[in-house]
Amino acid sequence: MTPETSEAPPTKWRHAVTTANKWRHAVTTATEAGFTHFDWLDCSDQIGRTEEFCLTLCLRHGDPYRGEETLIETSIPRDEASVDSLSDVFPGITWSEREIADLFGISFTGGDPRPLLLPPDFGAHPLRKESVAAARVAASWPGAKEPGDAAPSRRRMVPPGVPDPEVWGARDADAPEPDPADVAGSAEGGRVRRRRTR
Amino acid sequence: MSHGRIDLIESRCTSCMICARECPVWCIHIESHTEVNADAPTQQTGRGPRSRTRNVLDSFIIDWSICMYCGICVEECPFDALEWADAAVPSADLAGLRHDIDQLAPT
Repeated sequence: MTPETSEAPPTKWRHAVTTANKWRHAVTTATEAGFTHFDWLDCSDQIGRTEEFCLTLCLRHGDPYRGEETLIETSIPRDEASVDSLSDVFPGITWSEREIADLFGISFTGGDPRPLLLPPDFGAHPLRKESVAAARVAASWPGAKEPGDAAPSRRRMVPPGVPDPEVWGARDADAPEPDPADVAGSAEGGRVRRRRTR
Repeated sequence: MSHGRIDLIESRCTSCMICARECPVWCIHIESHTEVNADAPTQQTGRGPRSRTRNVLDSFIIDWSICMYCGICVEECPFDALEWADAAVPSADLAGLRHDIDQLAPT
């Protein structure tokens, strides 16, 4: 089947939001409606807004000339990051699920539990926003310098990804584990107020 | 145009540090100092007259062994002092991949 014009039709988007326990149901409903082609699966950390991850699946219509895509989105709570695997619906989704399991620490129930990108003993999920690039904490940041030979500003520049030492790192050893939202919030970078040293 | 390397247009650079701060891999190192600009009129401030100063670039190093050619520095520079260039960066050793102004801003 060839269309009469060579121009592809404009993409028509649909957008559906579902809850984590209805994730599988929402996706199978979409496949039954003709969205049989798995395009991509992605995730984002919503820390600072909500204590959730946002998991997004893009499906394309089986008939490419209809140019229809659908985005299905769900929120997964941080403290219980688990959702049904779709590996029996789309075998190819296993790669994406294993990648997201590595990077965000979301477990896909019924999926392939093996890590894909990280070594099994890596012990962290690097795309969680509270995940700290520890090597950067020790390295000196070229952007910390001010233009010219100006004295360091009262509001010093800190690089993104390196948290405040009082929250992470040089904090009291007896203190409880820092809250993930505090670590993520203190690692945003930019100008921060210089703390008074005692 | 291919993205072989990034050139510096030295006369446009104000040593504002924006590229070094935006660089995701921390590969840009800038050294600069401040000089009194004798041509500019003095500025009247609440504490009396103050001479105008400007930043002078001493060294602008891109470490090509770290650079991932993302082009964020080119995009972010408010003075268009960085631009893509064709020629790739050849070197036999890591130290030779730290290019300073004389290599980044060919005259």
